[in-house]
Amino acid sequence: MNFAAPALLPLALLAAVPLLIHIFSRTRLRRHDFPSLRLLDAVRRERFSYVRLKEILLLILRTLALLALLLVPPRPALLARGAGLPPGDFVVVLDDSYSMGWGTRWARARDAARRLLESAGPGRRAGLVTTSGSVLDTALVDRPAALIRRLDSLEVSSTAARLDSALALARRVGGGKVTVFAITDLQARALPPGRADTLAPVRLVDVGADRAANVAVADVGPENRLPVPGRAVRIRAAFANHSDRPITGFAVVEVGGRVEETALELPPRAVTAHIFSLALDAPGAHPVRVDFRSDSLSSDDTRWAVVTIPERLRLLVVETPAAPAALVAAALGPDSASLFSLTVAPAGALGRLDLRRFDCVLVTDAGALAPADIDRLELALQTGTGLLLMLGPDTKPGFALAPWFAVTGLARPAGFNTLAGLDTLAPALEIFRPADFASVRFFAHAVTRPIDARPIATLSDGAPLMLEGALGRLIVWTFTAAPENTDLVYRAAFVPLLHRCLSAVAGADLRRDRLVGDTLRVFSDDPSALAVQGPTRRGVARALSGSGRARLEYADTDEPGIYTLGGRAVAVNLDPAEADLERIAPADLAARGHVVQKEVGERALDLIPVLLYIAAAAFAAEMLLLAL
Amino acid sequence: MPSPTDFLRPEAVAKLRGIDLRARLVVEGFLAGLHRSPYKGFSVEFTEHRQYIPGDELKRVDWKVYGRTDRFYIREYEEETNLRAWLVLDASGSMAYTGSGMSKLEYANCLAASLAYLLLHQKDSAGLVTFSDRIDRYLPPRSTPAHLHAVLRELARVKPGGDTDVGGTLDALAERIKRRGLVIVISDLWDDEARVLRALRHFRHRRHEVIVFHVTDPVECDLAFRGPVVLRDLETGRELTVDPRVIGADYRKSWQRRCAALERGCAEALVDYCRVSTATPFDRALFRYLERRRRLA
Repeated sequence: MNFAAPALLPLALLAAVPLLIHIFSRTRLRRHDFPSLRLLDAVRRERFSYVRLKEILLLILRTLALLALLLVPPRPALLARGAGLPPGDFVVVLDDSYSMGWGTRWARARDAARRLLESAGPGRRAGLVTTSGSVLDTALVDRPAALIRRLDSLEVSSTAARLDSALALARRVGGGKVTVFAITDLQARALPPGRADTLAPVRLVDVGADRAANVAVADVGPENRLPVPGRAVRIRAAFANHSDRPITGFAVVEVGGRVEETALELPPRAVTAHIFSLALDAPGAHPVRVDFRSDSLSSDDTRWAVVTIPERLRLLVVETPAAPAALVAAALGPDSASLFSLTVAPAGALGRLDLRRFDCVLVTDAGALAPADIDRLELALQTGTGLLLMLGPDTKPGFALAPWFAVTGLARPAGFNTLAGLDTLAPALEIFRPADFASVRFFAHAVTRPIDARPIATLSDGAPLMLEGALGRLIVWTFTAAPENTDLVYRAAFVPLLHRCLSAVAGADLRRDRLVGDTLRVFSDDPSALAVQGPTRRGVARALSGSGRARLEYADTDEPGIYTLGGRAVAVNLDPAEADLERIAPADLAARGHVVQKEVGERALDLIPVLLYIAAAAFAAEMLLLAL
Repeated sequence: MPSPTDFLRPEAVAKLRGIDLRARLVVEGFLAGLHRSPYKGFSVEFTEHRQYIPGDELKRVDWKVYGRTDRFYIREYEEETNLRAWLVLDASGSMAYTGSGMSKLEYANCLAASLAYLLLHQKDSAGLVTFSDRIDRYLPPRSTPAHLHAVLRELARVKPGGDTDVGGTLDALAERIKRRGLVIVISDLWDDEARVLRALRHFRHRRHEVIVFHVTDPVECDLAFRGPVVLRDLETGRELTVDPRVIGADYRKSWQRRCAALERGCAEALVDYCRVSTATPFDRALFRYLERRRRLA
């Protein structure tokens, strides 16, 4: 017999109370003189056996009833270990993504994992893997005590990892001849797409069979996508209601010691945006925290952001006769609100300029530069200056900026190309959506071959539109900002795109949405300042080797919050997609060939109903006996 | 130790003054009737003085002696009597039971003292026999007034103890008493009913008139205890645990049956049976009995 709450088992000792009362009441009976017991003997002879029997029966029934009731709190169950499990070695894949923190899912998952691991023994080895990677014990063991201790120390992670990689790792263990049990809440996004692998089927242990009405703070940021100096910016937050009913709660924003609270009603299955009235206007990085507490999954009820109101950046615009800087200069804004302190120079003047004085350099037509100027730009790149290169229609095939890319040709279609792909994970493009470029036409562009740079936008002909390299300090437009090459210059996205690309290469901390597990990389003016202050603990960053501005790297971002490294504040958050607790439908599970494991290591017969029946029967029998 | 006068209470004496104990049955050679002293208007021989006891008639006080001694003395006269009475008192261990207030033995002593006074007051002779499982004391009947003191002294000396053998003892007494008379048995009759009745019939066979005062206590009648108790037999010392809630009803039925059997047996043997309870003041019980007896006579 097993007990779910063994700490309450000593209560069963109280069942001895009727017996103790019976014993002590007898020893404390009053004694009286009596003239003669003659008549009593005769009467008792008739009644003795019945009375005695009745006394004993009553005592037994009362003790039994009390014992049955007192055994209910420890929640006993009859267990058969290993029931329903296939023989042979097995690996337990434990989904410890943050959605498992809903309700009692995590407790049930750990319990199921423990029962599975406890079924290990000689001839039946076990392994344990978590989706977050916190446990990657690939060695199978037939004594699971250490695994169970490790399991008991685990908590829900802050990751949104899917099961794919953990399942793949689990299959590799034991040469693929193991049964894999995946303990998960069957969140729709957690399971790998497609049909289950019939050669190595996974047995799913469902611990998420409870209704979840989750609300999460999905996004926090400035109200406009491009904060500029001198203009106050308010905080915008998005709240995702993943449930089927409206949720009402209080949204709270806190920044710089100021707090604002507002009541919100969130419609079901929708993301609701709200702009707080609290405004920021001082230049600098402002850590912001937004809360919306409404349910048991509290980890996604808070989101952080660092809203940066930038200082002015020193920008050098290198123009060529074929690509003058007027349009660009106008887009960058000459007034005081502009983010940039602008210097325009012709290409031939590059040799006379100290490029280290500038945060970033924009070349309107890099293909027209002399090789020496190309070299100067490469050097500037290495010393930390950011580059935004535009490739004009006269760029010769063979033009290259080693080791990042090379130009292979020129494309001038009969009609035009449009934007086909946009990597919004790139810091420069984070604030954009493909719809921002939906009607933009590109009439001519250079065809490039990325080497160490990567495309962050592609055209409908498959060629890269934009490249990013040098850890984000180099962005290449395969077009020039001229109306004859593209009508982007007339679109609303042009100015913010220009601003974002220049700010990105200048090293401004543009990326708002870093997720738990991401590696933080920041520029630092003090390469020796390696200390990192995380949400709850300190760490040490790694300085990346190279010349120019120091770059610090820190990978230990396993919890959400504000990290400060190299004098910069960076927000790390949970992946908001994990907040959708929508489960995969049972029919879909079956259609995809997944097997759901119903019994996990033990077949338990809950004894509570049995005990209650026994107690009720004992009480009924006692009342019947008393009535006789 | 109780004093002799503890059992002869003034209030009882006052109540009994107008009462006499008449033998209902014909005593050989004599008619039943008044045995009141005929001293008033008759010349009888003065026998002795005895000390005044409260309740005595003041006209019998010898004032000359008072004048000489400053003490009250009563003039006693020798009287003839038709009646010899034996007060047979059960002094077994069970008589020591005190359920409420007075013990059965004290109650019996009061009864015996009152009866002795009554008998001697009406110039009958009274003797005292105490017994348990054998005859402990035998005081032959006398009719002198001073005999009352002797009876009272004996009553004061009685200590309860020993087993009960009512039947056997009464049988032995019946053999011992030669002259016909009145036998008054004062006992709780904790013996086999058949043996008791046989002994009483033995007295009747010897043509004695028999009165039985069955002394009881309310607790022994009803088993009036709350909850289970351990009862200790006063005669054997044996203990028994009983639950009156369980066996009380049966016990009371058995008790009633037993008393009914005794009453019936006594009636068949022409023995006057009177059950008295220590809950009833003894003088009231005795008075009631004597009134009933007088009416029947």
